[in-house]
Amino acid sequence: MVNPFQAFRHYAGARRELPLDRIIAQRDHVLQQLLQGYQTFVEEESRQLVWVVEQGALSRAYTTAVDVLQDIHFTVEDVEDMCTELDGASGATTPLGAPSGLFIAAMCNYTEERDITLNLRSMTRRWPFLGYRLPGGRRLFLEGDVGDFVGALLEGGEVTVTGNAGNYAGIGMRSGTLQIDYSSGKNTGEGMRGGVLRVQGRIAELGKVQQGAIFEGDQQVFPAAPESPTTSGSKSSRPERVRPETVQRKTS
Amino acid sequence: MNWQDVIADIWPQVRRKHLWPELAVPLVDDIEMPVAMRMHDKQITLNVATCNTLAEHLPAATVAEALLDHGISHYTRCPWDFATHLQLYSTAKAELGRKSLAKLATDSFIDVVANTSCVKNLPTPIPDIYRHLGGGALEGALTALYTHIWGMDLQGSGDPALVRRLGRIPYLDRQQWMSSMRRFSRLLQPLLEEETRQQQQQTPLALGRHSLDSYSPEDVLKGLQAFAQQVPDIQQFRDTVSDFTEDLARLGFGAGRGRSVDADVLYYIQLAQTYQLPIRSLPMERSGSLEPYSHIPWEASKPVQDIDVWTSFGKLLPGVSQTWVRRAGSTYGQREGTPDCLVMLDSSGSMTNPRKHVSFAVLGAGCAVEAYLRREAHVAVYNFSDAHMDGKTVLPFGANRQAIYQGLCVYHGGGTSLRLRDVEALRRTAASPVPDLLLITDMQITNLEEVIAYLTGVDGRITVVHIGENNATNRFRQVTRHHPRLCVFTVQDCQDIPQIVLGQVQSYFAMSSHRVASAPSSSWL
Amino acid sequence: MRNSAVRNSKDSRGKVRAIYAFINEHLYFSRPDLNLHGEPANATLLLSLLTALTGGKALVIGEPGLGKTTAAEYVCAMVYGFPLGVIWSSVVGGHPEQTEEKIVGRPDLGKLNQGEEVVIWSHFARLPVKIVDEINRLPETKQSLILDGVERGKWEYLNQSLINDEFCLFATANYQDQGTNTLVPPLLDRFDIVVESKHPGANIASLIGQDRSPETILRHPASEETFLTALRDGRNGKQDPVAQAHKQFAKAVQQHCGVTLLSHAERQTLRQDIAAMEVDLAANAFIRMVLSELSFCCQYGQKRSGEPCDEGCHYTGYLCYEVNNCASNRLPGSIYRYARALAWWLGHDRVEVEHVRLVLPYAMAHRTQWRESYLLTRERERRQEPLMLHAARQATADIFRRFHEQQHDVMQALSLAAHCLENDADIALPQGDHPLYAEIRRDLGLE
Repeated sequence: MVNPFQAFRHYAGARRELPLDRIIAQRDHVLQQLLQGYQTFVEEESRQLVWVVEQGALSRAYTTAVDVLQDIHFTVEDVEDMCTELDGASGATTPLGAPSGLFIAAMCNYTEERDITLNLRSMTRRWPFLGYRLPGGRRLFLEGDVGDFVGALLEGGEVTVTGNAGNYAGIGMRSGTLQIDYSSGKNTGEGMRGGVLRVQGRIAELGKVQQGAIFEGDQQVFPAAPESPTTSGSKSSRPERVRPETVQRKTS
Repeated sequence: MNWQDVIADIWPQVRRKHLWPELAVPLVDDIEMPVAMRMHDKQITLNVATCNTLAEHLPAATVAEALLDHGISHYTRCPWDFATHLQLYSTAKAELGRKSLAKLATDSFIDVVANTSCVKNLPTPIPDIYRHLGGGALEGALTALYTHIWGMDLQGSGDPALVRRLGRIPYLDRQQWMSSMRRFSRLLQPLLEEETRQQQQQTPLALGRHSLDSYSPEDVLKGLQAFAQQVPDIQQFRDTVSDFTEDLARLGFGAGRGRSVDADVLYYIQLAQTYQLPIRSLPMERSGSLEPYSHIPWEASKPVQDIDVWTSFGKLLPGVSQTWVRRAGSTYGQREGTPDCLVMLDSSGSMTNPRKHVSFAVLGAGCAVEAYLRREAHVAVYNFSDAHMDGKTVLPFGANRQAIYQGLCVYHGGGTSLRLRDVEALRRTAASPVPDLLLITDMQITNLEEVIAYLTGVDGRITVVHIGENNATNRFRQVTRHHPRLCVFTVQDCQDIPQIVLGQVQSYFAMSSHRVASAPSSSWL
Repeated sequence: MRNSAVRNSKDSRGKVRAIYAFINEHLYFSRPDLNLHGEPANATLLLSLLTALTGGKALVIGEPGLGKTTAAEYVCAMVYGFPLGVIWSSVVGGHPEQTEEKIVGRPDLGKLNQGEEVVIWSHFARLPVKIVDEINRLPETKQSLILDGVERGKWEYLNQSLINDEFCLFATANYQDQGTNTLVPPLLDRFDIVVESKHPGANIASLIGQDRSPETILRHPASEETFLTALRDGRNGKQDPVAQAHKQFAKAVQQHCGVTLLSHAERQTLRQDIAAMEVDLAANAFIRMVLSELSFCCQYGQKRSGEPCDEGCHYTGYLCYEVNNCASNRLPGSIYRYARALAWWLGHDRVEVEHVRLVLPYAMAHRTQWRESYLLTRERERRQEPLMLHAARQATADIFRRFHEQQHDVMQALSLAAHCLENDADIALPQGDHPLYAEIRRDLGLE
């Protein structure tokens, strides 16, 4: 049989191999691993009903996520790309609220870089559980709005949210700093055992705080300052700081 | 240094390298803006000042080749056409929110793609000029990016973290250009804002800016059409196109020189023109006469008067003699003209505002308008809401496309009542004796009985397109059920309107040329 | 030996260019509408010339009176060395009453009455120049008769055959008008190229008719008489002394026009040189991309008339979605023939992508049946040629853009496929979106 491709047998392409090719190939490879890992994580945890937000279940799910990420070498840029990928995904890798937030949190805690910045402004989803168990020595900058449970069980790390936070911000914090540039939702600081929580805007409602310090603007609301006319759990009489439509990036 | 001679020397090999793009021989000239080149409708012009500056560091041929590689790759690689440019710009604008930032981001992205494509696929000295190009913080960051992704030291300066992130964007994957543009814009936003703040006015990139000047009017038209089809709603089209109104007006899009472009009207025109009816060839009809066509051997039982003596060699023998086979000839038929059309469009409060969201009623009307205008008929518009309270826009019969669409895009938003005296008066002004009527409405008309009586009594063909089902539509259908010239279409989904209108108008044109001898669509001789 | 071959080729090219220049300046006035590496040329004249040189089949269309037939006549007169009067005697006119006897040959009636079948071949059949004026006025059976004969170079009548050792065909057609038949797709497919004879513009048109009739330049009554007598004497297939007439005419042309005509041997050598031209890999890959887009269908295996693609097909962005029929196997033959001829004309040593790109619209315009929607989009665009040629040109540009982006990947895939077929190795083929990748997989039995 005649070989219709014979003429091309000795073709040697003249293309240059650029570092860009290697970078993109590496990125795609790691992203693929991360997505597969996430898929495994979701399948595993779906049997355990991880979206029942209960501490035992969350802790177990987090451990599963850490195990899945064990053999994957990823960088902070991979974390950002994973967020983008999950944000636009549908079907098999549809982000499922708590699991996706926990997975991202695990990635942030185990990446090599100490300082992590995630640009969430253009994302449609508000990830919950970001900053979950962030250990000391790490800083997490979250640009944009975040979902519920930001900084949950913080273990000494610094979390900064440049937008609004959802409910249960700082829940169960042990140590470290959680700063929210705009407002937070209900049950802020619920079960907090230490650390500092600063909300530059308004706190919708304080949770049952055990220890630590919570500031609303410049005012400390927990433990309540004696001269302050406001008491724990009541709303501040300061005007609400409303985030404008376009968030202006702070210049450092 | 005679740069034109340098270009004449290297142009053949540069063209060959890029697989002979259809571009004129580049020129060299003084360009006022501080850019290295200008591109206008397939003509590249290099800035002699930039060439001389770069020639202080590099050989002249290298400078010319690098600049030409860059310029040509904009035609052959990115953005290739105006549609792609618009999409990239629209994506950047959605991300950044401001026109100046979006333009700068788009120009930067286009440059990165074009340069990287060149460096990867061709032997090119583009990296050499970036070592000596200079520029501000943005240029420095892009040069640092090139260092990172090309693997060459170009002495750029940029935040390493930013460069690492920019380096992870798949610039050479066309399928991902839009998502890449989003990421690129997002990452560069602080730098773009800083650059714009410091410079007071937007400074173009050193190698050139990419504006509508780079494209011919035909490219712009094609790009607008493609963009109108791709955007999810009219607002995005308007947001993007309104940033180019001056350029578009200069190119003749819109109501004429000196008048700004109405982006909404432009949107509906471009979109309606993508729904097109086939134009049938000139109708042929049987002439009724028979003419000789071909030969077959004569059989004894057949008549002898059709025997062709010449081809029969003077013999009268079955099987040897040849007889003519005749067939009916074809000749021109009477070419039926296309009647004019009066379009009655309901723009009451229950209909969609065409300037806020895509109105499929307006789009359907536009499709019909295009079909009639292309067949050299005239169209009148009666856009009504509560016509008795003067909620109407009346446009007499004409062929001014812009004016017709302006009339269709008016939204009155009030009650619904049709003033039939106006309609009849307008109908009588048509040049054709019996114009067609097209009514698009949701049938919630106050004086529906009068309308029904009028439509059933008037001459001409009537098409009624209504949205949804209600008592009024049922009543209308019932009364007009047996009318020979009135067709009613119910539209369940708004998106069906253009297809319904097309179907009806298409069947009309099929009826008007019912004596057409069917010719294969490929026949054009 | 090689040097002399190269020199001969150069000489022949020089003569052909001189013929082109002479016709362009004195006989066929036209505007240049092609740009060949910076050199302007008129498509009708150049492609007619290449048709005559390579023995191709050209369909020349245009409005009445725009020089469709005259272009062919001038080119053939000068390439084949026949005076115009002889050419005219061989032209077949298109009208419904044409018969095989008028086109191909007739029996010698005198001998027939004596019981002997002897064929008198027509000039059309005998001469290498075959011009059919207004072919679309001929009945289909006669169109088919001519095209079959030219395809094979062999004419048959009453069990006798006449073989042409060299020939070319020019058929002219007006656009659809009164009394026109249709050139059906199977017949259209037999033409190598279609080209339009355009109006030269007011300024050039005003020059026509000012000077003496240009035909007189190529009329030579003495040699015409010799030719016609020789053809008459040799009409029974015997060796006819036309060589003498050729020399006489060539000498007259040399004296009056300063142009040296080609000899039979030169034409044969020239054809061999053209046919031997190498096609470079990029051009080869580009042609494969074109053929795949014009024949592939993921749903039905291949394109077929009457089996249009559904909406939302994976390959919607490619030409296979826009065409209704399948490219025939004659298309690559036409492309190679004319691309080689063009490369030879330009003095290049191999066929490159640019040559293919220039020739492709003319080779595919008449063979492609487009979707209505595609044609309607193109119809509104500004153009300088008929819609079908414009659509083909835009389609060529679209394919070329894809080729420009993917050429290395495509050629890499073809190279790997070559290794796969030879070594049966388990090499992973690069994946790609273009139909050509699917075709490669099919050829390797992977799909």
